[in-house]
Amino acid sequence: MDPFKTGIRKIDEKMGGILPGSNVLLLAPPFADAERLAVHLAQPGNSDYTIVLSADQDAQEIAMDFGLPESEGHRLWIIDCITKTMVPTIPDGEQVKYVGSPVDLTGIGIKFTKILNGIQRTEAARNNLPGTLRIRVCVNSLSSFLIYTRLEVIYRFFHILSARIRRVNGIGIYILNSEGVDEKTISTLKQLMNGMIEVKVDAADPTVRDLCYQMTNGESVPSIRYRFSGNDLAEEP
Amino acid sequence: MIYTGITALDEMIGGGVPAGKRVLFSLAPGVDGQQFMFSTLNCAHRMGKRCLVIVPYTSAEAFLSDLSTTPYGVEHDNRMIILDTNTFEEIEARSRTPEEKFAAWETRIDAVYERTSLDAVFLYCNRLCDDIGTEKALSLFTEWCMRRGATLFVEYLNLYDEKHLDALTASNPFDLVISIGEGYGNLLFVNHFKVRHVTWTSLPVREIPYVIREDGSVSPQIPKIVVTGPVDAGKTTFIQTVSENWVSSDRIGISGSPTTVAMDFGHPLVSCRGFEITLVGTPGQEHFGPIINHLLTNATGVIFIVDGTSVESLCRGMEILETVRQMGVPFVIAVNKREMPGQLSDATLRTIMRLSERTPLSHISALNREEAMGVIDALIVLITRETFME
Ligand SMILES: Nc1nc2c(ncn2[C@@H]2O[C@H](COP(=O)(O)OP(=O)(O)O)[C@@H](O)[C@H]2O)c(=O)[nH]1
Ligand SMILES: [Mg+2]
Repeated sequence: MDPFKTGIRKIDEKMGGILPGSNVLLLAPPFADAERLAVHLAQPGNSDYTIVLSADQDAQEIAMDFGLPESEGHRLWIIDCITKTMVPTIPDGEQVKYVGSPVDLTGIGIKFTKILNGIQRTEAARNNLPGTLRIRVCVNSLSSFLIYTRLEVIYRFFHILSARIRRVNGIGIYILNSEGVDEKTISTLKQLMNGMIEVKVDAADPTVRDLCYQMTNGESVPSIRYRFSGNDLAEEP
Repeated sequence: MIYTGITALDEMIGGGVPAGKRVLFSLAPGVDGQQFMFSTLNCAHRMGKRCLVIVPYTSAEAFLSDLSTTPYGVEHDNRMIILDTNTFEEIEARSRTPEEKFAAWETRIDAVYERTSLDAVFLYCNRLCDDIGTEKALSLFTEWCMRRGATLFVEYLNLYDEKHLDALTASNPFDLVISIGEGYGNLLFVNHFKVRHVTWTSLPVREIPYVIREDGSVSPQIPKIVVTGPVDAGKTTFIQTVSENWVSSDRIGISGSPTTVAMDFGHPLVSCRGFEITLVGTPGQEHFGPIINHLLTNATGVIFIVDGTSVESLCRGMEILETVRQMGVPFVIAVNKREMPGQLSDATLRTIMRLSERTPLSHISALNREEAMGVIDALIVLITRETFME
């Protein structure tokens, strides 16, 4: 299976993209547009599927951020962990599933399975060969899940989820706020990952970000400077 | 007694859960198995029991709304008391140490009890386990229910393995532990439950497959009972007699993998003791061979049919029976054509087939539906209830 294109030229050119079966920690300080970068990395394009597990934004905001044309709407699937706290009776839709709160790990696991099954059905209906699914998962954000649940439990839960992503040869992008966490949390969560993207805000120009991408196998792309204009990521020369 | 409402499970545990017992439903992550608790809650409520539901991960309204999307919806009347995330946060805000939280929860449920005595408590325990420790959280409720004579049902998301579950059960006085896990054999969209521990009866620890129907209800399955035996014993007749939906053997497709067999058979052929059962014949395959072997793969049980009037036919079937025995699949013997003269005696039959006294053997006419169903019933009991295996 081909690597997943990131839409970031320097990564795609050097490494082909993100290798199937990778789980990548996206470590960024607040106000560094980590969500926007995650959306960029998790874009399904016209061949992949994206599952967003969100405890930060509701389904509507996520759908807006992804901005897919209607014809590609079937590529975006969402597990929304916050809307039900405000609209308790909201029913699941085909693409969007709701759980009671970010604490509801039972519900999240079940909805994740349902979505994987749903994607398989969508693919089968389009007569695509089984086993060629390309799935990008975006977790927004580990920091929010950690507010409600102990690290040990979060670690176990995402250990299982990341293994499932690996099994289907997908990729996972996990946002973690680098400021709200201690070393132990970061080092524990890093054990689930085989790659890390670290984002920094440029000291001189706060609209410029600097990311480096490092795989545990030693491959890396150091220092890519970029800025967002709208939702477009523009790499600095 | 409180029924789980899942007939197959109720049958297995002797009708339902006796009053005052403590039940743990342990779910593997990602497995659609919340219906076990939903169904039990629904039954308890319909039986007129006063229920306390503790759902720290969500609001009462959201919980009831989730229930109402399944066939297990309940009304929020005065016999249905729900302590939800608000109670959790209230206690969280007022107490600092786990000991304080423990005491606050106890006070809280005592207060509920003072207003309405309770018959059953339904606890979604993970958030509490996370907050005050698993041991503490579980003992709080097992002990409280013991004191008050209430039946306890706990749903627990097990992020670890079965060993963890056994450790949990060893240190907490649960009377029934059901572990609900992913998959069954190589079938798609089928999960399983397993009675790991039960104090009031004796049951085998065996995976019982189930599916969740379109409407959200639990449907325990026996996805593959193979009907086999020597030629002309009456296999086809047997299947025709018991089948609610007859599918010709052409459609079964002997080359199909077990997965496609189950998929083609999307509909059940027979229901018995709360199970939907798919029967698989061995069309035209009376001699042992790779195809029979293949058909037997992943079989949950085997019905071995012989012609009770023919020693010669019996002997011809022995090779297949030997394979079944070696596979360790539960099996029963149906001695067919019982209305014909020249029936062999039980002793002869058992000797030729080298059967233990415990292998069910019945004389039937495959043309008689009741008698044929009796064979299936005996096999289901064997699969779900008997702790011995030959
Ligand atoms: N008298 C009698 N004949 C039966 C009974 N069951 C099957 N048969 C007959 O036995 C023959 C073989 O039956 P069939 O079901 O085709 O056997 P199979 O080869 O095992 O599938 C047929 O002629 C049936 O009509 C029964 O209970 N009583
Ligand atoms: Mg036949």
